[in-house]
Amino acid sequence: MHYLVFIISKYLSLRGKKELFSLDSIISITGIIIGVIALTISLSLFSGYQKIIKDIILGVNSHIYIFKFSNLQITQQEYQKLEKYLYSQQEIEAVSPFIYTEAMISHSDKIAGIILRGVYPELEKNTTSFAKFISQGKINIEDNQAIIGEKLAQRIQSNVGDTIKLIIPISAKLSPVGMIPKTKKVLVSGIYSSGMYEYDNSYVYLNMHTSQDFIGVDNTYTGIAVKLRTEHLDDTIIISERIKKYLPFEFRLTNWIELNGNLFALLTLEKWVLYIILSFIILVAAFGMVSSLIMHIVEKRKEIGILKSFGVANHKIKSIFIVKSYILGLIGIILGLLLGYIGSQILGNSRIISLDSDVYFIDHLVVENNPYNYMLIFATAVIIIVIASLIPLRKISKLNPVDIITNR
Amino acid sequence: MNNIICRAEDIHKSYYEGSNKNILHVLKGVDLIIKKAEIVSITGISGSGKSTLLHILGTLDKQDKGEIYYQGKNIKDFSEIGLAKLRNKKIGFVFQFHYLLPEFTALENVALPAIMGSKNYRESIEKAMELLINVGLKDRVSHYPEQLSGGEQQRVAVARALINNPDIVYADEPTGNLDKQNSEKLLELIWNLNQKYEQAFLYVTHSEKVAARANKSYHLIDGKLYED
Ligand SMILES: Nc1ncnc2c1ncn2[C@@H]1O[C@H](COP(=O)(O)OP(=O)(O)OP(=O)(O)O)[C@@H](O)[C@H]1O
Ligand SMILES: [Mg+2]
Repeated sequence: MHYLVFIISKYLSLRGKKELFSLDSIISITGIIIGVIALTISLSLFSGYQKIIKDIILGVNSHIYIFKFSNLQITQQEYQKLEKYLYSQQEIEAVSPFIYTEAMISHSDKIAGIILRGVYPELEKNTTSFAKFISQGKINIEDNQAIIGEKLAQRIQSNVGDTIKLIIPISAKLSPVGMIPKTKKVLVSGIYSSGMYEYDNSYVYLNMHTSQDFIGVDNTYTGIAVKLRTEHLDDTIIISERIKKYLPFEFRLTNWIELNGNLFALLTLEKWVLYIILSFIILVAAFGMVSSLIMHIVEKRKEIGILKSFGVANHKIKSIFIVKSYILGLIGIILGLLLGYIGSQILGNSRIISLDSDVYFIDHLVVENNPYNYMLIFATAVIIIVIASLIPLRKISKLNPVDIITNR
Repeated sequence: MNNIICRAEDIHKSYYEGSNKNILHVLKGVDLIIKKAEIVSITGISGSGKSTLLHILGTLDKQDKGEIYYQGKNIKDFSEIGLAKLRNKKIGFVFQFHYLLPEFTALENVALPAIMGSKNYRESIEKAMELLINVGLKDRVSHYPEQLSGGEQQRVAVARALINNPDIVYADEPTGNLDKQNSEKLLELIWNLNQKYEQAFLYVTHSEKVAARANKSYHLIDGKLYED
């Protein structure tokens, strides 16, 4: 049997446990546990946040948008040609045309600015998570009906079944008395709830025909939404470039990276900053372990001297102390991961903490238990403990057996 | 030549008294040859340098001048790990105060140098058991040091010194803190073991009587060894 197996089994024996779990060992483990818990919970919550933001943004929006310069409308002819081309690209999953304009809404003395979206619900549900986000009512929108965002509905105090008034100030007709805004009464047939405050507070969906009629265009579109197959999401830029080459000069193109890429990059950066800062807790805890290890070595000087006297080489004596600090460190890390997992589950499921959705886009915490996060935390803590343990071990080589044995 | 285990030539050792820069010249040219299965004793007044000499011979401390050979090889040529190996395989120590490891049972204490020397665990334990029986501690094998008397602890220390079949055992006043009866038993034991395993013993003692029983006895006087 290898000598280390013997020493480990010794530590795990009844008598050894007392020694292994002395008060200062427990205190230093506690530091590691707290650090790992903090890191686990923070990363789980932050990953959850990041994921939900991405899911919603990429759910509400499609991946690539094609418009015309100076807000000109896309004609049927142009659309049909483009649609045919787009569907010939194997990375593209779905295409859907839409109307997009700013407008206002009024109901029961309340008035609010909105984004008006005219869609073919049957096509729209293929390019965005439109269908998934309808929390009340049907996906299909009849003529003169509207699906409005949940927060918006609350703001203007309207509900399914109410009649609301839509107003477009910009496309007004010129009249002797000045600009007369164009208005239209529609019935609220459904509620749209993506979970993202910004969208739920401003979106109003009409069907294509009603919206074209309202803004006064003749079967033309504001833009075309293009959804890529999920596995090609990372190729967005390459595909965008290819489509751009095909597009006639009066067309322009944008994609989710241009629209929201900065936000995603920022979220990723924040996650790393969080990770680095919280790793410092583990680092500090590891120094606690180091000092208890130094104490331990000083306490065991005599034993170290004896081991040296019967020819146990320095590296073997070191490995005994390493084993002890690794056992403790490992217990701390595993307990920390476990408690962190439980803690993040509780925080995520119980909605103890609510968020201000004005600031954070969403109103509750979501947990993402990414195994990659757990591995990262485990590796970080292990590396910190391994490196920190090396510091006090140098002391062992310097201990002179004769000094110890003769008690000088 | 072949049966010389350890040869020391002209060993010098000085200590520097910390503050007042006084040099204390303890060993002033010690020559010593220890042969296979020989029992050697050293006497000398307190402070004459007996422990110092033992530590140097046992490679725990370094001499200022002079050479030490184990089986013809100069220990100056050994690496740190090489020296540790030499101590583990060829040398056994019994200290003036029985330094056992408090976390380990008597049996484990005896087996430890073998286990740490990466010998087979079961064989080590079996050998330790045999040695403990030989030193008369059959019923004490699973006791911890604090549960043993001084004499018993000293016998455990002797058993531990022998576990790796060393060529030589250095014992620094092994009977120093034992009563007469226990001292007698321990010496008896050394002779028995010497007969049985043919190990050389070098022991330091204050008692002329005990010293006289050795095959060779030396006096350490003014930093030099004189044979009786
Ligand atoms: N590390 C040291 N630093 C300074 N002086 C030392 C050191 N080790 C030993 N000495 C001195 O060297 C002298 C010899 O010490 P040593 O322990 O070898 O004597 P000893 O013969 O074993 O004595 P005793 O019979 O009391 O055990 C003593 O005067 C002691 O004070
Ligand atoms: Mg002494």
